[in-house]
Amino acid sequence: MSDNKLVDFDVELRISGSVLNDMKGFGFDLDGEKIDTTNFDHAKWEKIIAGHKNLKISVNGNLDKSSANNVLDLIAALISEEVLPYSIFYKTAAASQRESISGVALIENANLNMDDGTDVKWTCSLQNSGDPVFTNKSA
Amino acid sequence: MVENGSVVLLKIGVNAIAATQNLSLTISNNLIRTTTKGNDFHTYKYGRRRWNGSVKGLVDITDTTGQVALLNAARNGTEISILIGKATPASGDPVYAGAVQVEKHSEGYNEGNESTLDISFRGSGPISQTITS
Repeated sequence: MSDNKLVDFDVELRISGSVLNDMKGFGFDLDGEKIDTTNFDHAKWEKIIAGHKNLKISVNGNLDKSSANNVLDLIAALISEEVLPYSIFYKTAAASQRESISGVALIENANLNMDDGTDVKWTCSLQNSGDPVFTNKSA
Repeated sequence: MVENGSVVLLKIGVNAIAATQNLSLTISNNLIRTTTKGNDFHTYKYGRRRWNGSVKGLVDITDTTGQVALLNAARNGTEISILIGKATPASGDPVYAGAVQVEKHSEGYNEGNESTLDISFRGSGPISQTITS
């Protein structure tokens, strides 16, 4: 779950309807198996995810407290045990044809790493709960 | 603006631990699977929360209110209250607070190098995140 291969240029993650602004990397695993997103076929991702039982999302970034929505919101949700609606959009397609997946997630883990002389780095894992909904606008 | 790790400190009360180089904080929840027959994807609810962290740096035996206090807590098995945040938090800065047990207090002494400090702690009870107004 640690080596996210998709980056913020490819993916937009919305939590409770708002874009997670300080995200840099994105990855997920299905039934405990990490998905190689390097050559991921976005157009078929519904088929790839369907039929599985477990979807876990991993994200990372550098803390930017000035962003309207950042990892501190996820940490607050983890501490207060909130179940959050999420949606994922691939930004590589035209807006009218973007595939998306949405569902609800629980925050399983969050880490802040504060090294001397470098940006504060964070990682966070979200556990999907229940059946995700797919939107295939190009279909 | 992206935050720099240099300005985030581990404190006991108002006293920052001296000579630190790295600080890490992890908060987790042991999620409970609630899937029943008829579900396609697993369903979950929140379970027990836990948190822990570590601090690394250089040994400073004159830091009686910081490093020495952590060493004494490790020796005596006593719980201490910590804060993680900037020396003077500004608007929007997070501050984490809670009680911890020191799990490991390790010092390394090698010829020709500065003595190093490696401390890990485990949260005892809740942790709070306060965003400075």
